[in-house]
Amino acid sequence: MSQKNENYKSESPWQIGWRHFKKNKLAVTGLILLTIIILSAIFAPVLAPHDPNNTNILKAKQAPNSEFLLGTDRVGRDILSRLLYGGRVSITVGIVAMSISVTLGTFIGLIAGYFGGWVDTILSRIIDVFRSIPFLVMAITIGAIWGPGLYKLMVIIGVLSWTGVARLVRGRVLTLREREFIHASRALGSSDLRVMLKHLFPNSLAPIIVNATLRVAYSILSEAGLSYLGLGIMPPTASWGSMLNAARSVSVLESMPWFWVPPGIMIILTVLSINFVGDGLRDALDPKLQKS
Amino acid sequence: MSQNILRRLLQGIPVVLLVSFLIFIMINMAPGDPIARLQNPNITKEDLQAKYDELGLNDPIPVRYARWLGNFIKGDFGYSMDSTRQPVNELIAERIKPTLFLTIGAMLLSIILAIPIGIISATRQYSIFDYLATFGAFLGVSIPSFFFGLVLLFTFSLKFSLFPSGGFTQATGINNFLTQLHHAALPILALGLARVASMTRYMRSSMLEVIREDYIRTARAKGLKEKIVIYKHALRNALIPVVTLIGLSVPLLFGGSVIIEEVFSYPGMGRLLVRAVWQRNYTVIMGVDVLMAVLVFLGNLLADLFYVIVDPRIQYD
Repeated sequence: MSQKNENYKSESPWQIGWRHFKKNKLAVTGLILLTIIILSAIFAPVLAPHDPNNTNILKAKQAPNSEFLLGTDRVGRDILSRLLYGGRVSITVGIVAMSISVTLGTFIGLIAGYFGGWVDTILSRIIDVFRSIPFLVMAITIGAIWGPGLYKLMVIIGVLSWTGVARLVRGRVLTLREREFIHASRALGSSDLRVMLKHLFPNSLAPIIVNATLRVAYSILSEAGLSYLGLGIMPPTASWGSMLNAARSVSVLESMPWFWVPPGIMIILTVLSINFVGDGLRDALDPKLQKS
Repeated sequence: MSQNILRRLLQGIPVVLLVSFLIFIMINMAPGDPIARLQNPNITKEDLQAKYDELGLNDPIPVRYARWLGNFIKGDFGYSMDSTRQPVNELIAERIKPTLFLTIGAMLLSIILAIPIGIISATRQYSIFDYLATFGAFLGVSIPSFFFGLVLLFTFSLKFSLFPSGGFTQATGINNFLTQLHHAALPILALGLARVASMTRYMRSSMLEVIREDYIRTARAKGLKEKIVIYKHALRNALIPVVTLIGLSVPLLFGGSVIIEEVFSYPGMGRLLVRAVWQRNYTVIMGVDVLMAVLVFLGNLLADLFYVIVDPRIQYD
């Protein structure tokens, strides 16, 4: 794509964005922190000192010590190892749920915005219906009907949270639809699908990326909440949310804080760094905010 | 104005109907049923069928939905499907007040804290206060509300017995506003944190945009005091987008209350829903879900009316 002249070096919009992003200290900090967290999840099998599912009743409920750096849970599993493996599950749920909601939202938004008329009216009403019932209420209802489980959880979170992206893309398409390059493309005989995918979608990509980043954070928070209620990831599988489930017992909450504080801190660190990155991306990619 | 409210109310009806129909279908496709778990294992097939017939569970789904709808219009949510057979209306009636206390409390908390913090942040941009507020706002939206709730419960209720660890009213003694507030304080704080955080960011950026406007320069140029410029001229305009956020946060507050009520054993609708979900108590699930949709709709309507107060340029007619 980049046609470089010897005298004139042009920057692609993405290079400009990256240049802006690099200047944002919080965003860069977030990116570094996030990279460390993701790497530690990927290399969990190498890093974990113990088997995350290995129970040992004799060593149960131990406070942090030299053998178990973060202590052990009620059946003697190593909390640190579960924390590392739990990161894999929580981050995977976040990314997959985000992919579902962003794909769904982008398609529906493109269709509603591009075709307009009654198609738009119907889709917009459907969006209204989805937005009029609290996410967690709906997720709990569906979660209870389907039962808990990793894949179900990803689908529930994804399918219930596409409306934000859909509205965003729809609004963007409405402003782009009457631009000359769209008319030109149609005049040249492009099909509707081609106009949508080759022209409207790439031109809406910047806000979609920003939204997708923040969606990962929301999805991780949703996983935690549902698993805490016992409707998400079920034990013995470790996820940050399912580890927090132990804190539903008052005795654990009061006298064994090493059960539930570490997964909480990991969720906060992950979500915080994603939010920093998302905010940096918004500043870097949003043309309205760019001064230079 | 009143015509507009009426029109908005009428627009809400199809949305609520669609929500209730979708939930009804979903619930009825679910495996497991509430009768099976109530009966003793020795029950005969015939008796079980008779029980189904008695409760109308053998009719086709559209017939059952129509029956539910008919009762719903009369304001009757049916009977709880557990052994108590209490009317769902009664169950909800005793739990709606704690939930509204919690959600409205969290909403008020976010307005009371976020607006001043946002104003100070914007008027002293890049000061230490601004950096702290901005970072605090990032942190606030990144903490899972229920984890913050657990930390509050651990600290202020279990380690230092300053607040009760559950309930909404006292079993004995006087139950006035203050005892209720005492019970609801930690849940309100836990639920409100994320709202305070996101509203602060919104307020700050909205204020920053407004104080760059020409009419603010004009107000300063004609010699008005800075306080009057900020609080009279700028604030009113900066509040307009924040009101939108209040409307958008209504479903978030009701959704969040479900999990916060679980953390604090707080006797509201969310806890009722979670219990009903475990028991597959369809009538209660249905009642709470539909009522939540109605409340979200009314909350949004209120936010819209608030709009008119903040921005007199908006005329509904």
